[in-house]
Amino acid sequence: MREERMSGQATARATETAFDQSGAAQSTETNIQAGTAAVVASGESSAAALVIDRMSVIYRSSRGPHKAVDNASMVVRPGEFVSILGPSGCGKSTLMSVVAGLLKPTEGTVSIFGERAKGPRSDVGVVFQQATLLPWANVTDNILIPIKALRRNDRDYAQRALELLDLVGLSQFAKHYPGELSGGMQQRVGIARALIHDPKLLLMDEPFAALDAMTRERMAFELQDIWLASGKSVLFITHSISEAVLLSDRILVMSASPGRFIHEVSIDFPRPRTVETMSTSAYAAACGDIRKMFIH
Amino acid sequence: MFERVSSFLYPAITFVMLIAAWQLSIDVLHVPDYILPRPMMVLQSLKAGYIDGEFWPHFLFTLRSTVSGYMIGCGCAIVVGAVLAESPTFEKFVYPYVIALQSMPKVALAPLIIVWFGYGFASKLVMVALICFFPLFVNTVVGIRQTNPALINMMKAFSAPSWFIFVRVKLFAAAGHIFAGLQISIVLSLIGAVVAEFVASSEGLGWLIQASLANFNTAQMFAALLSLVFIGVVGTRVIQGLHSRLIFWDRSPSRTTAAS
Repeated sequence: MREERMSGQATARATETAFDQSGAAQSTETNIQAGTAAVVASGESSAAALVIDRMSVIYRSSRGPHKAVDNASMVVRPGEFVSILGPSGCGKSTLMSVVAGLLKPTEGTVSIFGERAKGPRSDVGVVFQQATLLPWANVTDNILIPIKALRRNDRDYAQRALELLDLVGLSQFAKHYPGELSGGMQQRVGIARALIHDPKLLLMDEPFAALDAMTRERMAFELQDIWLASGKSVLFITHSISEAVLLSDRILVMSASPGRFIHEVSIDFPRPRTVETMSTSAYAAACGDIRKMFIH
Repeated sequence: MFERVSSFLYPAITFVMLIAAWQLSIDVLHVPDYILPRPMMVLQSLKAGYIDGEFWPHFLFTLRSTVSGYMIGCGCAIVVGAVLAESPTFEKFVYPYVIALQSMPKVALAPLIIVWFGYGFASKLVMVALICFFPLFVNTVVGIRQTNPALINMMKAFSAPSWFIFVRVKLFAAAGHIFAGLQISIVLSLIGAVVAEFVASSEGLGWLIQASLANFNTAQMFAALLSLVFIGVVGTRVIQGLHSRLIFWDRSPSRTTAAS
C-alpha cells in the first residue's frame, strides 16, 4: 500500500476537472455518493476504518432548524490519510463531533471498523482545535488521560507515554505544566494524548488552527512523520489548502453551509513529502486546482 | 529589597499617624473616656484580657463557634452546590427556594435560631454555618457550570464516565471560584457569630462587647473588636495561603461571584 504510494507519480489528479461548469459540483458529489454506496454494498465497509453514509445533522434553535451537514457520505480506508477541506462554518467540526461520538446525526449512519458507531469509542483518538489540556495536570498526566478515562492501569502505559513524548519531541517536558508550554508544544501534547491508547483511527479537528503560520508548517511535517511511523487511519479537518495537499492521500472538499462534499481529489505525491515537494510546480498546480473550487 | 521594606514600613507609618491623631484629638477636644478611650487604655484592656486572662474564654468561644460553623457551612455548601450544578432535576426542585433564602438577610433569623437551638454554643454554630453557606454555595454552582465545555467534550470523546469528568475536571475548574467563596465566608462567619452572641449568649467576644455597654467600658469594646479583627485577618490569610498553594495553575486574582 505504502510502496504503491511511494512509487506513484508526483502528480495530483482531481477526480473531476470541469470546475468551470455549474454541473461539475453536482456530478462530483454524485461520484462521492456512489463511491461510498459501492463500498457499503461490496462489504468492504467492514474493512474500512470509517464509513459515513448519507449523514445529515440539523440543529434546532429558537430561530428555526439549521442544517449543518447535508447528506454527506465518505470512506476512510485503513492506513489512509483523508482530509476534509472547507471554509469556516461549513459543518466540518459538526461532522467531526458526530464521528467522535459526541453528537447524534439527524439522519444517516457512521460506522467505524465495520461497527455502527453509537458513542465515543476506545479505538478512536481525537485531536482538537484547542489543545484542551488540563492546566492542573502535568504533561505526562495529560497524555495519560485516555488511559485513566478508560479505567485501564496507567502504570502499564508509563513507558508508552515516554515514547510518545519522544515522538513529539517533548522528552524534557514530561513534568511541566501546560501553562509553561508554547501553543505548538501544547498541541503536540494533544497529539501524544490522542495516540496513547493506540487507537486505529485518529480524528484531527483543525489541530493547527491556533498556531502561527511557521509553527503550523513545521507541525504538519511532524504529523506526517508520526503518521508514517504509526500507520493509523486519519481523518483530518482543515481550512488550509496547502496543509491538506501536503498531508493527504485524498481530500474531500466541503461546500459552505449546509456542508456537503462537492469534490474529491486524490493526491499521490511520494512520501515522505518535504519542503522540496511544496516547491514543485505539480504541488502548486494541485493547490491551484483546489483553490479554484472555492474562488471562481 | 525596597519592596519588602516598604510593605512593612508604609503601613507602620499609617499606624503611628492614626494613633497620634487619635491621642491628639482626645487631648485637644477633651473627649471623655467613655466616648473614645485613649489608646493606652485599650492597650491596658488588652493586657488585662489576654495576659491576665479574662478574655481567653470569650475569645475561644467565638473562635470555636466561628471555625466549626464555618467548616460545617462551607462543607454543606460545596456538597449541595456540586449536586445542584450536576443535577438539573434537583435544581428544578429547590432553585426557587434557594433564591428566596438567599435574598433574605440571614441575621434576621438569629432570634429564631436562639429559640430553636438555645442560648449556648449550638445556636452560634448554626448561625455561622447558615450565613457561610450561601456565598460559597453560589460560587460552587457557578464555578462548576463555567467549566470550559471544550475540556468536558475532550473527556467525553475519550470515553470518560461523568463521575470521572466531575472529579478530574469540574472540581478543579471550580476551585478558583470555591476559594473566592471561602474568602467571603470568613468575614461573614464572624458576623454570624457576633450577631448570635448579641441576641443571646453568656460568652464570646460579641457578648463581651455588649456587656461592656452596661458600664460604657469603651476600652474593652475596642479590645474585643481588635480581637475579632485578629481572627478575621488570620483566617483570610490562611485561606489566601491555601489558595495560592493549591490552585497553582490559576494566577488570576480570585474571582468573586457573590457579595453577600
